[in-house]
Amino acid sequence: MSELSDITNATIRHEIEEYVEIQKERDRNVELFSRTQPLMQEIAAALIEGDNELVDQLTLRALDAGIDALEVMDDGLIAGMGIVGIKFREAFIFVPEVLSCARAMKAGMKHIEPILSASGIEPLGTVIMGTVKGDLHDIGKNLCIMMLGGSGFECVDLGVDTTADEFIDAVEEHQASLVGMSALLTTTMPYMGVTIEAFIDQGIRDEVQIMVGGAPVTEEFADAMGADGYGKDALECVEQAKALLKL
Amino acid sequence: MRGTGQGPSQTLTMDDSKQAELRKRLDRISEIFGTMASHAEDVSQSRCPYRDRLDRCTALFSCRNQRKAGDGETEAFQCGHDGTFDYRSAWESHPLSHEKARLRIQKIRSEAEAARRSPSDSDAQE
Repeated sequence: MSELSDITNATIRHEIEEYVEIQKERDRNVELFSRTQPLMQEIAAALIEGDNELVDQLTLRALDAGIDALEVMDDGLIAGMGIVGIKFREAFIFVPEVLSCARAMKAGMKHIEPILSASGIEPLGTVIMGTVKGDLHDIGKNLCIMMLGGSGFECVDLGVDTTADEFIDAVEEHQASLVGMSALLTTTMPYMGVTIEAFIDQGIRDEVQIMVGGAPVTEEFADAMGADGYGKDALECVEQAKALLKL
Repeated sequence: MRGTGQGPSQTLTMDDSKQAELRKRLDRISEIFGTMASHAEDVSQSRCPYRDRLDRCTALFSCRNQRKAGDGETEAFQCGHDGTFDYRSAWESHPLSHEKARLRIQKIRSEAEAARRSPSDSDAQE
């Protein structure tokens, strides 16, 4: 049986010692990390710290060095995300930290994607995501992006305060077939309707599926504004995306 | 360790078993994120989702609970709330606000449809 001291990376040792309290999980993680290469531990540590630039560099370095993509995913990215999940569940970290770690994961996965494509695994579709004009709330949208990305969709994040033109331009630029709009205020929610009308005016409404969500949005509102789908949370967002693209 | 891969050439050809193995990892990532997203919903009933582990506010918008921790201009806001509330109730819409939004959406749609029916009229109005 491996010991904590068998893990070469100090950050990983500290993370397990400090935050993994359930013995079974601790043993599993000690066992896992003690048999992984130092570079994989570095990737996991950078991901846990939400350092997307470092995860980007280290993942690229690992693949260039000939380390198998499966190993990079198992021992670096997924192993690191496993610790993040435990810390979140045990309330050592919260939603903002989880989103940083998810972005770091995405930075690493960017280098795995060509390998996925070569094996015949393509993204399920491209989704343009944004919070509508006048609205600066982004947590719900970011959770949706995390879930969509993790479920195999390619996501383009337009951020907050997104105009109808920005949505339209992004759809055309990325040849996206799906748009996700978020709003958290009843005062900004109608702008989703403005955006949908703008798609009609541009003559491209039939080329794109539009889903909406956010705290004040309901199925009824989605219908009233002419959206194709509504999701009340990030999990439903993925279900909607798959349903709209008939996946 | 599973051993090293085939170097850069690993991107070129792959058999079905490799694809199946890759898919397993993607499913695992999806499962991890799904658990986290679900937990995020639960956590948000008692803690603002914009509040990080150091109680800093990460919101891009103003909130009455934001407090400057020190004198520094660049310092991040701290969340000044005791953190024991369902943040979503603060954002729950008043029925009147919902009604206003519904009417606004109706108006947006009918105006847009009217403008499409007679583009020259709407140009003239502008």
